[in-house]
Amino acid sequence: MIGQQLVNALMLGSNYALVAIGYTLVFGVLRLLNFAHPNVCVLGGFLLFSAVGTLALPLPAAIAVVIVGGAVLGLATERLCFRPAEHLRDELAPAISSVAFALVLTELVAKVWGAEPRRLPPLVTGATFDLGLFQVSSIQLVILGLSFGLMLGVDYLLQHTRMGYALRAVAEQRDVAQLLGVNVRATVVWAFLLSGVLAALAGMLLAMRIGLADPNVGLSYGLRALAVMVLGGLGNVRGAMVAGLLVGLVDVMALAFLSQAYSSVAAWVLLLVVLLCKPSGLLGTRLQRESI
Amino acid sequence: MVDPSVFVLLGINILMGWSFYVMLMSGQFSFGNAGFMALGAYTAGIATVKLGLPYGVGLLLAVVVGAVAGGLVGLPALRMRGVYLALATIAFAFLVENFFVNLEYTGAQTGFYGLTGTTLPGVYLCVAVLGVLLLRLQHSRLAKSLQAVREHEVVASTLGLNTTYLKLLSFSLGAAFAALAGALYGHYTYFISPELFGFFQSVWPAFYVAIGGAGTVVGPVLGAAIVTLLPEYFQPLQEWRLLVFGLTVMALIALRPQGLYTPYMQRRLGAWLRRLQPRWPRAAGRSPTAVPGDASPGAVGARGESP
Repeated sequence: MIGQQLVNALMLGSNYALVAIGYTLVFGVLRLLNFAHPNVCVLGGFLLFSAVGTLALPLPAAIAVVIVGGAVLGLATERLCFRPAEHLRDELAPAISSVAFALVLTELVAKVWGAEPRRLPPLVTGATFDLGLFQVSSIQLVILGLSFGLMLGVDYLLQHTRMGYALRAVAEQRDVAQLLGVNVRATVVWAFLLSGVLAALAGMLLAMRIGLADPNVGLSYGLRALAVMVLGGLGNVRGAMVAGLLVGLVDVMALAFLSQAYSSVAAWVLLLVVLLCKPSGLLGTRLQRESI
Repeated sequence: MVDPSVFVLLGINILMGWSFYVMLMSGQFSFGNAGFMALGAYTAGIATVKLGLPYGVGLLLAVVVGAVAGGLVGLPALRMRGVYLALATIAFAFLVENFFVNLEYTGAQTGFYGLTGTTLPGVYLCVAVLGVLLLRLQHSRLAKSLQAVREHEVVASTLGLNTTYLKLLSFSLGAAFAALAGALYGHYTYFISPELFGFFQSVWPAFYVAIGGAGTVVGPVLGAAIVTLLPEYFQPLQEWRLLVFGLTVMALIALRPQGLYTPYMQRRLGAWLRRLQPRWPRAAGRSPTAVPGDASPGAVGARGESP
C-alpha cells in the first residue's frame, strides 16, 4: 500500500517538478511570471492525443511533435507577451498579457479539441511488474524514466553547457552577465524555448499517466506548480525538482490518508508554512533571499 | 443592446480594480482579492439573511471584516514582496474558497440564497463616493509616501516613513474595497457559491489595472470598462468572442504596456482644462504654481511614464 503510494507520489511529483522548472527558468532570467505556462502543458497533452490518436504516429514521433509544439508556444509567449513591455521594467503588463495568452490558448484548445477530456489510445502495451511491495506497469516505467531523464537532462544542460552558464549568469545578475558578453536577449529566448518544451512534455506525461488529454488540468496544475516553484526557491531549478517531489508526496499521502478536500489544500498549507518560516524557499540561496 | 445588469457588474468591477490599485500603490501585488470579495459577500449575506440586519449594516460589516482580514493577511505578507506575496495571496484566496466550500452554515458547495438589495444607483453611489475619496488621495502626502515605499522601501524608511504601517494600510484598504465589491455583488445576484470567487475573479482586477494604467485612479475604471463591456459588444462573434477578447487584450498591452491612461496624460489633460478656463476659481491662498496636477515629472512615480 505504502509502496504503491510512493510510486504514485513519484509520478505526480516529477510531473509537478517539470512544470515548475519551466516556471522557474523564465522567472530566473526575467523576474517575471509566465501565466500561459500551464496552458502550454494542456496543449502538450492534446498534441499527443492528435499525434497518436488522429495521425496514428508512433510514440517517438508523437513526442517530437509535442516538443516542436512546446518550443513554438514558448517562443510565441516571449515574442507576444514579454518582448513588447521589455523596456518598461514593469511587472504587471507582461504578467497580465500572459494571462490573456492563457485565455487564448484555452479557447483554442476548446475550439480544436472540444471542452471535454479526450481518451488516449493505449500507448505502451506490456506486462505489469510485481516488485513485492508495489506493482509498476510498463507505461508507468516509461513515464518515470522520461520524467527523471528530463530532469537530469535539464540539470546537465544548466550545469555543464555554455547555454546553461549563460542562463545561470543572467539569473544571477543580468547587468553583469551582459557586461561579461552574454547575449541576454538570446538567453531569455532560450529560457522561454526550454520552458515551453518542458511544459509541453510535462503535459504529455500527465496525459499518458491518466490516459486522458484533459483541458481542465491547466489551472489546478499551474497553480500547484507555482507553489512548487516558490517552495524550491525562485529561479532555483534543483530546488524546484526537490519541492516538486515533496508536493507530490504530500498530495498523494493527503489523498490516501485524509480526504479529497484536504488533498487540494495540503500543498497550499505547506506553501504558507514554508513562506512564513523560510521565505527564501526550501533550498533558497542568496539570490532567492534578495529577490524577496 | 447591452443588458443593464452588465453595468452593475461594471460598477463592482471598478471597485475590484481599485482594490488592486490601492494595494499596488505601495507596490504590493495581490492575486487573492477574490478571497476578500468572498469574505465580504458571505459576511454581508450572513448579516442580512441569517441575522436579519438591514442591508446597509451588512455592507458596513463586510467592509470592516474585509479591512481586518486584509490587515491580518498583510501582517505576514510584510515579509514578502513581488511574486512571493502574489503566491501567498493566491494561497489565501484558495483557502477562503475551500473554507466556504466546507462551511455548512452557508450552504457549503450548493451555495447561499436570498441575498437582495443592491441596485444600479446604489452601486454607482459607492463608486462615486470612493472615487472622489481616491481622487482626493491621489496627490496627498499619504499617496506620495505609498509611492516612496513602492519605489524603494529602504529609502522610504530612511526618510522617516513608517513602512510597516503604510503597507498594512494600503493592503487593508484594498481588501476593504474588495469586500465591499463582494457584498454588493452577492446582494445583486441573489445567490452566491464559493466557486464564484475562484482564481480568475482574483486575476480580473489585475487586468483592469494593467490595461487602464496603474498610475491613476481613472486607469482601473477605463480597464474595467473595457474588460467588462468589450465581450458584450463582441456578442455577434458568438463562441469566438473570448478568443478575440484575449487577443485584443494582448494587443492593447503590447501597444501600450504602460496602460491606456498614464499620469503624464492626466497632467496634460489637467493643464489643457486649466487653459480652457483661465478664471477657474481657486481655493484662497493657493498659488497657481502649487496646483497639484502640476507636479514636476521628476517627482516620485515618474517610473513607467512616457508620452
